[in-house]
Amino acid sequence: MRDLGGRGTGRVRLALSLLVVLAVAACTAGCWDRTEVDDLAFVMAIGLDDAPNDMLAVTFHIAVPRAVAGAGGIGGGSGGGGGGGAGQQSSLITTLVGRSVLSLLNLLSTHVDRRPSLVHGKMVVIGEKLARRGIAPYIGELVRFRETRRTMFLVVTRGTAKEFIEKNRPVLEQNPAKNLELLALANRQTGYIPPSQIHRFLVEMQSLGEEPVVILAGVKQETPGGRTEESRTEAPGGASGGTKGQGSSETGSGEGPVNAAKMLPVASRSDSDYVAGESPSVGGNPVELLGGAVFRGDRMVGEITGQDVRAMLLLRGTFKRGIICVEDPFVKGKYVSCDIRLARPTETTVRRNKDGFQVNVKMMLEGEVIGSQSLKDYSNPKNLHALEKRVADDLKRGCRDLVTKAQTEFGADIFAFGNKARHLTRTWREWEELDWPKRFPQAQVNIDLKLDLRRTGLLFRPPKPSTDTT
Amino acid sequence: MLEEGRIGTNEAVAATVYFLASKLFISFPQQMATVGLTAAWVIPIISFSTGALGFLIIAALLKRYPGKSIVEISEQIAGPVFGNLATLGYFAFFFAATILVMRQFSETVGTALLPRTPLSVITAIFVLATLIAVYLGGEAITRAAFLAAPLIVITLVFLNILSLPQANLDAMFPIFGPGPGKLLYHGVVHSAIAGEVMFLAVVAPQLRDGHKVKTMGLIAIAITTFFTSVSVLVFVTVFPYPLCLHIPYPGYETSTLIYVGRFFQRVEVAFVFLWVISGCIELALGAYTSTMILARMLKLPIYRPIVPAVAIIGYTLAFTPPDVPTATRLDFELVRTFGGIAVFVVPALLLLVAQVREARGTRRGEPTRGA
Repeated sequence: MRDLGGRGTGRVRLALSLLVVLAVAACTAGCWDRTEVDDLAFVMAIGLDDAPNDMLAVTFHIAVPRAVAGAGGIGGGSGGGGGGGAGQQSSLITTLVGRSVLSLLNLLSTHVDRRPSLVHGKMVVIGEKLARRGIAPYIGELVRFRETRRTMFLVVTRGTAKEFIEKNRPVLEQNPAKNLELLALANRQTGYIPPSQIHRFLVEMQSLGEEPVVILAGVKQETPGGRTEESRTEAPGGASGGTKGQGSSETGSGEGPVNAAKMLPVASRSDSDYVAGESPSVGGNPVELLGGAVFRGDRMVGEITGQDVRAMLLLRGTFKRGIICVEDPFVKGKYVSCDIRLARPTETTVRRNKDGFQVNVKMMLEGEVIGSQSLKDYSNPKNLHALEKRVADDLKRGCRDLVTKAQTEFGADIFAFGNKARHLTRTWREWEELDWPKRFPQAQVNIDLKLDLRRTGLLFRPPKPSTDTT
Repeated sequence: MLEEGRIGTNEAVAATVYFLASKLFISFPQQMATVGLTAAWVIPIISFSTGALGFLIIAALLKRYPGKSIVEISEQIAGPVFGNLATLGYFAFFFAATILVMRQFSETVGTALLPRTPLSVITAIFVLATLIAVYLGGEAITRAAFLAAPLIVITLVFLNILSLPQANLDAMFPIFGPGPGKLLYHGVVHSAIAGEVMFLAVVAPQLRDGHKVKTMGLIAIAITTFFTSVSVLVFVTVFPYPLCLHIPYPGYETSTLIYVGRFFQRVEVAFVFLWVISGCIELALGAYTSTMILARMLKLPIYRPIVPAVAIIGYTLAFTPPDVPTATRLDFELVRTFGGIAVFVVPALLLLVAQVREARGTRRGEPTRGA
């Protein structure tokens, strides 16, 4: 070809090259895969519930772009839930029943004019009943599909996924995608929910060294009578809401504040010792994400509270930060709040001895005093050390309680101690033969927790009233 | 004599790295996990080390016959019949590897990017790009590889770093995976994953610094070993065993997991763009090497007349595997398992024969090296 030089040939080559480029561009981007954005219906969340006759009820939460841009209300659609205030609804919610998520996605096109697409999906919500039955088949179905992202957040909701999606009425955020993402990312600020994405679930579900804990969601049951301490303690273990499983009550927007004025919720435990749907709050968005759903393999076997999730994250070494409140070590009935974070990565080692396995966890935390109700001077190192001890003891107790619960009640290593036990083996066969899921319940867990409170907030000493009124 | 442009040292190294490392963007990491389990990252180290030994043998042959390619050397040592049989072995390795890589790249693009575009169209576009590149010649392809080398390096570095938040280093344990013996066995048996280094032996007469061919090959192997091993390590820590076995497109899947907060996610499109460029360069190198081997074997003065024929045959054969899993299996279990015989064992035998002949010739006082 080199010998075929010349100006004429050069022009022919240029023309041919342009022709090829145009043909390739037209074939790839302009023909089969051409998709206009306004031809698509973006599914933001998928809700999965079990349905009669071994069928699956799939709730699709679809964004209505024009309404999102115009800041319309949230919710509505065939599933109910009503309008969302002024303007057009920013979400279309619809539920279909069938055998497969993806075939129902196709069926969705029969009453949604745009082509449903999962490419912008943010969340998969699983109803509790289905979660207890096992979700591997449905998650497996979803991740095989090219439009599903493994970074979608995975949530198990008490009650049904349909109810959760329909009742989700964000007040501040009108963009459903952002709303769902911000809800699930709250774990970074509070530690009350675990980090939970489809990918993480798949990793943990298949691992012999850890078990999955996914975000627990729920709908707050704000009946006109409000929740009472009696109704709460009726539930098994005293941890479940008295109205659990009775379906939702009317929680239309604007009703919360009325209830709040009539009756405040009753709280008798630590501020974070609740699961979703039971936190002592009224008003605002009726759905909440709090606590974790514990799995063994792909089946949900229990729930843990927001406080437990923090303990779990501390033991896993993935705790980011959060505010912890303890009773003042010097003044009964007064409370101190500290902002805590990991100072160093948690060190976990697993040893094998003649009695079995010994897990040693060493945690180094640091933080600052950000609020105190008492008049105690925490600029005094002696007082500060006493507070450090109180907080550390509190956290350690929480961790120990959760370990006991995981070993006895769930039989699931939700702390990923097993991943450290892998270091004890040289080959995969040895690891399989070690059979960590069976060893974990008998393992001895030693927790060493050290906390340094490095700052005392914007005050050295608390403001003191001129007259003691107590 | 077939004379087709000159290839500089940097270009040759860059092209060889491309040739060896581009398989990272298809199913290679998953294949490593099937045999290496949690120690999948060790397999490339063993395989490329074995490949480096094989290349030292090839380099020794090239040194004995300066200015000649492995094709002419094979014929000279083994005679026209056995020499051509050996050459057919080289051709089979490169051609089979190229068409299977083409199928896998097409399937990756079809699955991840263009699901509604027929596979035949995607493959045809790859073939078209390859055809044009091969027509332009080895000099143009290797220069393109050199210019695009930063792309593959940056892609791999960014992909690996941004995937780290999803990685769990505990997944490296048990450290020996299937056991040290099996690791060694699979590493050696699959040494053909370094087989593309023979490209340097095919284009040896075109190298500007032919005497540095050994250095070029070893540098290329060292760079590739580092990148492939680290990338496979990241893969098996992001998708811990046994999850990694279920991932047919590891590079793509890993990139979709990049989530560094709300504002830095969905970046796989940028990676896919670069992978397609890498794929085109690798396919061009594969097709060019195959064509050159054939042309040298047939003693053609120019190779271009056979390019369309090779392209059409390649396009047709790319569709022979009925599905993606079969294509992937054929690539790993056939080409990467037995390919080592063609690209490393045969040259070793040739070197042995040459040495024996030389020893005999020395005793008889006859010149035996062809030049």
